[in-house]
Amino acid sequence: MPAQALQFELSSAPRTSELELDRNTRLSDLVRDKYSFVWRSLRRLGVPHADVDDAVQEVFLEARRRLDDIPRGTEAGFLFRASSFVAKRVRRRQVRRREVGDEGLDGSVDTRTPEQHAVQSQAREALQQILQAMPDEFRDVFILFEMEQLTKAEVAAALDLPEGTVSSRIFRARRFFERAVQRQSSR
Amino acid sequence: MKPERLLQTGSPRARELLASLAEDVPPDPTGGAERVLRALDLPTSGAPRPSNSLGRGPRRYFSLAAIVVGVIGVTSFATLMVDRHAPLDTAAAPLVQAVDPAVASPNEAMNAPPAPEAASENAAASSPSVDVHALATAPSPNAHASAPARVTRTAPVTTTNAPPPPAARETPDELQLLERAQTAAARGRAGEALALVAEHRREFPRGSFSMEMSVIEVEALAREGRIDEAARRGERLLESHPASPYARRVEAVIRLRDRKDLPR
Repeated sequence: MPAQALQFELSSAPRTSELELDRNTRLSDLVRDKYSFVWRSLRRLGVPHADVDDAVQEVFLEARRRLDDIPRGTEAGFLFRASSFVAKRVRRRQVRRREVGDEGLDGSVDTRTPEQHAVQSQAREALQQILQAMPDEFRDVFILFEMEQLTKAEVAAALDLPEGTVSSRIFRARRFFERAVQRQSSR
Repeated sequence: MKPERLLQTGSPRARELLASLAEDVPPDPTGGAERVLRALDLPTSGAPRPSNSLGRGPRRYFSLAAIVVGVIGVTSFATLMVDRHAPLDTAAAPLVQAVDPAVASPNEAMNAPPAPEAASENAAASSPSVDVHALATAPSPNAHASAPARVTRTAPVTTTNAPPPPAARETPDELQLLERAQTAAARGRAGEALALVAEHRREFPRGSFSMEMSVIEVEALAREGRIDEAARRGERLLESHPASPYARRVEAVIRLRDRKDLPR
């Protein structure tokens, strides 16, 4: 018995390390492949520039924790949903910071150059303002379809939605967006 | 056949704003990915992959953005006239996200990402997260609690000594107001939300987001314990916009009143 047990242990150890290696490889690939996608998504979901790096780490930490539950080929959808939740958490923290009056004291630094700030701030801020006001359900499909340029089928898979719902939300998001743009431009 | 994108088919200003997304590039994708790998205790050796994980995104965006920016640069924008008589937008999804403690943890929410329709139903069924038995006793109605005078959409109140018309305040002011009301509602600050709704009604009698504000008002009234008033407003809202996507959330408030009135 002991010999059999030992044999069992010896045969299972390599398998465990193989699984671990496979897991680490998959996670590493995920980080390298999807880093910029997560970064962009977080920005568009309202995470300030200064907080994005930390938020990206939070997303991938969650991915590591849940890796075994993420079917291969569906990683982008999971990461976007995770980004959405992390973004909400960041925004809640911001609201709390504003409430206690320590906005700006968190040591965050805007690392953009003055040129970047000048070039991107006006249109980008106007866009972000509209995105922030957009309902979450609209914003998610709007980001994935109009900005990441996924197909409707891909958006549906990423958000676990029927395609018909995706189509409907794209239509409504566009209408919301254009109406908000029109209002902005009319002043 | 490629689907049409707003970047190609939207208004000039919409295309301009969307083109600014081309600037959403991490300042240091390689270094950023390496930092994440270190945080995950993963080896950092090996060349980084291209940053557009989905095979599109920034690369396509940059080329399209360059085209759009070039077009916009030689195109003069027509002044966009605000349609003062535009009907209420009934197709926007609910803006008020009932804060459901059950999904405060991303873990729970990501375990089984709910279909948004189901999520809406669940949220509607539980929104505005107010259990009728836990409600505080509704304050006695008084003059202040009564519905404020509603400004009709076609006949704004004006007098000979009236201040300048609300045209001076446009979006993003209206958007900011909406966002503040949403935040207040989501944080459970019903009084503040109601004050912002009242401000919106004054400042934007024909605003684009009157529907959204009305829904915030209905839910905030319920949260304050003014269930009957909330339900009445909700019923009026549904009468005028029966097909609104906000219907489920408003109906949830109406059900609060109905449950409250049930004989025990």
